[in-house]
Amino acid sequence: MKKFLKILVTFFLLGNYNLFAVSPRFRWVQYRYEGDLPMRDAVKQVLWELVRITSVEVEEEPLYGNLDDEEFFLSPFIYLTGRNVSINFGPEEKRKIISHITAGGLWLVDDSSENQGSPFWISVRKEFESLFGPWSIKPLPESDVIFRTFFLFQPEVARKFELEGIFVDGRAAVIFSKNLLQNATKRKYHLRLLINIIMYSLTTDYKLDQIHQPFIKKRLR
Amino acid sequence: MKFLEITPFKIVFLSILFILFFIFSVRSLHKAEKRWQKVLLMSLRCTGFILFSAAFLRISSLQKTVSEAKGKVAIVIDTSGSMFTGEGGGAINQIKKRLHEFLKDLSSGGKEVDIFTLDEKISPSTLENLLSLENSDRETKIVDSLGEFLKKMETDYDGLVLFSDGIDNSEKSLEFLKENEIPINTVKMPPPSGKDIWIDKVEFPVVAFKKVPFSIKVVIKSEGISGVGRVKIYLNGDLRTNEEIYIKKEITVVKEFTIDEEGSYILYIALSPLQGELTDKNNYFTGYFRVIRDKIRVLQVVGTPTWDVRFLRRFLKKNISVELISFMILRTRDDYMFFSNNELSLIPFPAREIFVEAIDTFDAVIFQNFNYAPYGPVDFLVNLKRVVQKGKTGFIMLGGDRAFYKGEYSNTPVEEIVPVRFIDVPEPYVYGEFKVKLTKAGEIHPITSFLKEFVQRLPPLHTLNLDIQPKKDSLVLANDTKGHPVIITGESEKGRCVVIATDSLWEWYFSSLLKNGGEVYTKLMQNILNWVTEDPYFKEISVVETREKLIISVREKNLKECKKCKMDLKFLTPDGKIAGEKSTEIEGELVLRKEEIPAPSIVSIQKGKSRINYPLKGKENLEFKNFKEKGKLLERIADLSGGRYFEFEQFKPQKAKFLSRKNRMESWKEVKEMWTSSVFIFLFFGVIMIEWTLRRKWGMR
Repeated sequence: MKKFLKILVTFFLLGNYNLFAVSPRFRWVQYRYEGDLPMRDAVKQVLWELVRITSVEVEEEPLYGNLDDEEFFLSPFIYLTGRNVSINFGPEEKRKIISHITAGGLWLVDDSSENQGSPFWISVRKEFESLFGPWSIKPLPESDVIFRTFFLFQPEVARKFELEGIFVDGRAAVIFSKNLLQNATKRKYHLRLLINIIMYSLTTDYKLDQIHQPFIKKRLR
Repeated sequence: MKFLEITPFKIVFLSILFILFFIFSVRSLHKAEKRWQKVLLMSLRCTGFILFSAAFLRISSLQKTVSEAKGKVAIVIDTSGSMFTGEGGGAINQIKKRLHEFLKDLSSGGKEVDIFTLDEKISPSTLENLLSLENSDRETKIVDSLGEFLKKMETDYDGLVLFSDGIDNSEKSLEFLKENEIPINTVKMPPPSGKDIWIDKVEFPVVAFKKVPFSIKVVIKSEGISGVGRVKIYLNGDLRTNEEIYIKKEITVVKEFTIDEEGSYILYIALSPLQGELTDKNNYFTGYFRVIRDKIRVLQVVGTPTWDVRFLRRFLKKNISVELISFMILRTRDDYMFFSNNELSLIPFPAREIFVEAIDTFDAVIFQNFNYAPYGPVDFLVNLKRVVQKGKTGFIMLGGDRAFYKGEYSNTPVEEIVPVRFIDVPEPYVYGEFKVKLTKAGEIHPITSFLKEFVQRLPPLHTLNLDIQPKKDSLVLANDTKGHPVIITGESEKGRCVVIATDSLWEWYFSSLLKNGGEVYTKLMQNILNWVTEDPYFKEISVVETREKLIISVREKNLKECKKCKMDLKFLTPDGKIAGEKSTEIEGELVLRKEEIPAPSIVSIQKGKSRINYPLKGKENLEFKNFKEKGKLLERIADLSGGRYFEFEQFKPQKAKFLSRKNRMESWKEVKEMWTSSVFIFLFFGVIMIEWTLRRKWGMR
């Protein structure tokens, strides 16, 4: 009940009382470009669920921007989505993306197209491969910590998502997914995976600590 | 013939004089009519000059004398501790009784005898001195001291006779005896015998790790005696084990210890003596070891995942000196609960395991925006307070919306140990732009002094906790521009705590990493970690030992150099008894000369609540460790040097082997300085007069 009141106050009465973009709380930060898909309602619902289910506190208002904005650049989590529009990063943007990722930032690249091989999907992969190498995008194994940061995914469920990633410093620093956000409001596991990815951005490999392993192994069939 | 005063100055003087004399002589001879006259006069003058030169250089006649000396023999008697141990005052008394007889025999054999004593070195002595010796604690170093002795004295003696029990603690080998020319005759004295117990062997690590258990194994042996005894183990003067044991032929005592403080340690083991023991000097053992820290074991307890949590974890995980144990509250009781356990990767928060069972094992505990109340009784915090106040664990508390007052820590043990009070204010946690600046204390404090050159360029923090108020004895290192404290340090009894009143410190990390920096956050957090865990660099008292001195440096609480610091010094014996003490007021540094402190001992230095015990190493005395001859040593010495080996009862000086060389003593004796003789004076003046007469006769001036 206490929690419910808190969510009500946060989301409906006070709104976002933090006037500053930089906050220790999780904020949904989305890369803005011509032809992007804001999906504000879906984001709001995911954040609502995140706060309802977990102890994570969020800044309610998502931030849309690009790498020219100082505040955007200071967010450790960046969501990039698209459908039919190709992505092309400029040289300065490329430099900043590398800097952001190597400093610990996480990018979630989500294809919102229903079709295989959308212009967004092909172009964005090409752009990231130009930054991190031609074979840098690799499938995320079902044992990856992303599938256990909060919700526990059985291997067969994890495999269905066909997540891919670019690994930097031993962690998945860029995650490639398909229709994750737009399905999160409709499908249980999509929402759960999105919550896991948000949790991963905040806790990194915490669930790989030795203390958790016996419990996790026992719960995985 | 020899010139007694032939110096370079005189040679130069005579050379110049001769040149002048020759020039004038040649010039004055031009009036002589005939050549033979010139030659005669010149010869006479030269003769005169030679005689003058001889007198000037004090020519003397010397006589060579040759004499023959008696052959010399060195008697070397072992006077180390073992020779005084045993029935009837030990083996030394048997030698004393027969020494006169030996000396007489050697003298009658035409040998001159010198007496030497042997313990850690060979020293000249006399018969009287030797007979008056009553006791000794000294070690025997037969091989080492023989080597030194032969290097210096080999040519002086025709042979050596060495009386010893063969118990030796030397480090060198007998190799040098292969080049030795004089025979060493060895006389084996019976070793000490009787009932005895002793500490035969002690096994312990030379380096132990802080908070990691290690074992000390003591092997006690006995011969001809048994009974109930006691073994006591002291670490830096503190009695850590006092155990009753039944002493039989061999008994092993193994004890496990855990040490919480880094530093040097003196291990002292005492075995209570039993009645009728041969000696109790082998009932004690002294050893030295160091305690270092392996890794800093850090417990990070997190109330809710935030970016501050993420970057602190990143710093701790990347730090190779840290062993991190994290617990994050990912779901509270207020959150939606209707999932089965198998759907979640969560584990119950192990409050009991952390705060009761394992709390002693952590070097630092970090509460990061963590509200303890839902997870356990306040008793858990009592345990945290206990380990912090004992100096076992440092404590760091980071801010956020569920820390400090909002974390319900008012009037809890946590409030007692941290350097702040938790206060109820209308806005306990605020958003804004808070530019940080260092206080005067912060500018010199080792945690933050490095920030001086960066602080202006650091981005502002975006959150601040206002629900804290620094305590009187705390040290505020950094404020925001409005004076709200941001970094506060303090001490609670022996422990150290740091409070950081924000959960935005990650911005310094992430923003500087983006700009290829990163050193500010990592250095600050490393300093905080080192300070709370009392890394030796951050201690108020430090000791540096040189060959001759102990240099004690004392600093203020903020680690600034201490001016007029009151300090108490105690000199403790290895079993913790006070051997001396003094209080002194020093400025920064105190130098103690090691020779003025008896070793082994522990120098206990106390300044206020800070204290360190520094062990001063003494030399280990192995003499009484065991009374067994080292591998037929005396037989080997005799064999290698060409001497003979005797059991004491069978020894007769006549049977010993010596060189038969006779020393020819050649010396030169001065007989007379020739210029003082009448012949020399007559000759000199005769030559001058003849030259003068001839010159006058031939009409020359």
